[in-house]
Amino acid sequence: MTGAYLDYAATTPLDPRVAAAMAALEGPDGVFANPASEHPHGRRAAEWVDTARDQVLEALGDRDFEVIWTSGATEADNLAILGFARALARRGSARRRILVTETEHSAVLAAAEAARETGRVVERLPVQPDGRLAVETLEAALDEEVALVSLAPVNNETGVIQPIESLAARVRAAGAWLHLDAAQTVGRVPGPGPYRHADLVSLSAHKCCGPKGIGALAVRPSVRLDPLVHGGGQQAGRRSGTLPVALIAGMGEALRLRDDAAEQDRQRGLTRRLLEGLRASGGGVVNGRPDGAPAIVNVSFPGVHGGALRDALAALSVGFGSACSQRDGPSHVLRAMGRSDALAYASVRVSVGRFTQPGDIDAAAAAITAAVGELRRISPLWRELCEGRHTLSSAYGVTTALEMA
Amino acid sequence: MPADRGSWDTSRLGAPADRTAWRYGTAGRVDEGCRVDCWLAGDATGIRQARFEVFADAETLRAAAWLAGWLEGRTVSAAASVTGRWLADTLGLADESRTGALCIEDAMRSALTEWPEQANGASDEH
Repeated sequence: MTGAYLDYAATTPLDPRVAAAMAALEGPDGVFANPASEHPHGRRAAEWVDTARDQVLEALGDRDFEVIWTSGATEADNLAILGFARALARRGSARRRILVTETEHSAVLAAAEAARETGRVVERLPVQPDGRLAVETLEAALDEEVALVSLAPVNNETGVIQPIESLAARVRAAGAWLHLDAAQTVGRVPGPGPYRHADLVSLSAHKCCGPKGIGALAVRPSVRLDPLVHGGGQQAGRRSGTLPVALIAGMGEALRLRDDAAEQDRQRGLTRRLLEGLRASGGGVVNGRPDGAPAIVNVSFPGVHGGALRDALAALSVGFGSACSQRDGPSHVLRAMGRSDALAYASVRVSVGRFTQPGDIDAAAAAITAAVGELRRISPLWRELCEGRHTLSSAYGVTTALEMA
Repeated sequence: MPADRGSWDTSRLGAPADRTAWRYGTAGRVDEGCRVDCWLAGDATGIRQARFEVFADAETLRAAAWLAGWLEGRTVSAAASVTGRWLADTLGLADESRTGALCIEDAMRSALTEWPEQANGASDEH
């Protein structure tokens, strides 16, 4: 029997209410027709798609978007960046630069790299040690040659929330377009959301208790995109393929049932409970900010070898860096925040959600504390840190000042 | 010599509580992903106690724990003949942990450096 699931930033369980809504559409008595078909069954299917579209727009708090259904946020990111870049190139636009931060999700980074084929130049902006993009850094990089800036309002590894409002104002002033990778944001983060500032927004269903295999790209009507998937011309040719009605309805329902402020507060209480519970281990370096996303905590444990830590916590369903790129070595996000490879490797990400209970947190804290405690007991590095022969910065060869929490 | 892989006893890991009369050696670097410190207590007749501190992957950790148990009661010349290659072969370590075995050897040799009696050279003979 598996223990508690504490990796909601990687994916979430399907909410039973969403599952029930989807199940009702399946089968010969359900709504299974092709929404593009011009017969009664098709029109009924199209109505369900329209309802889900409205639910997406409701979640964004802005109805001035068109919704392109995709297979997930990864495809949405690719369409937003590569599809946008190809359309620009076809128009012979002089705007050649694409800006991303060093901490973006690998789907954004890879799509941006792929956009080089169109003659675009991709620049990765450095972030501060706390994971935030400084407004000054973006301002210095912006000029009339920038076509697109892509940002994640919430980082999937650390929960760091970017100051989108301030950043978006600079992007707009430079005449560039703004893409937000909102996979971790919609329905998970308090507040009205920054989507009104964006030209393109990527969404994921499986990050908010919806089904896997469906996402969306919300795009302003004036934005031009070249399709990445060609075929029957569905969705005005922007993304061909028969629309999966049950999946789309499931995504809409998941967004309708999105976490409210009370649930977000409950989740913040859980992550704070975890941090308190980890103090008995001797503490760690919190990778992120106190005002970050309520459901994500990322902690590095000085003195502990990351490989040994993963082995010791093999029974725990938590993240050790990004679940989307397990074999890529120490986290690129943590390295961008100034953590050394060794310290980044020794990090644990705990992310909670709708079905997480306090007992799950207490068990995880106990397991992590026991593992870290034992590994520190036998670590020469931890001994030397305790003896004052090293500071965290000198032990790990970094210039960033690190503090144990 | 087949290894007793069942003896993953970690009680011989960690620095000794009272470090007087222990000989100490260290090898490896944190930024290389492996650092091992070796603590040995004994006299001219042999090694009475052995401990390792380890900052390395789990397999290296277990290898050090096993070796600490193996070293106790051995002569210094027997200890000096231990190589990382022998340790890795004996315990069937994965390729990526063989570097850790070499680090264990280096730390142990460093601790044996000032032993009253020390065998010359190293050998894969065992």
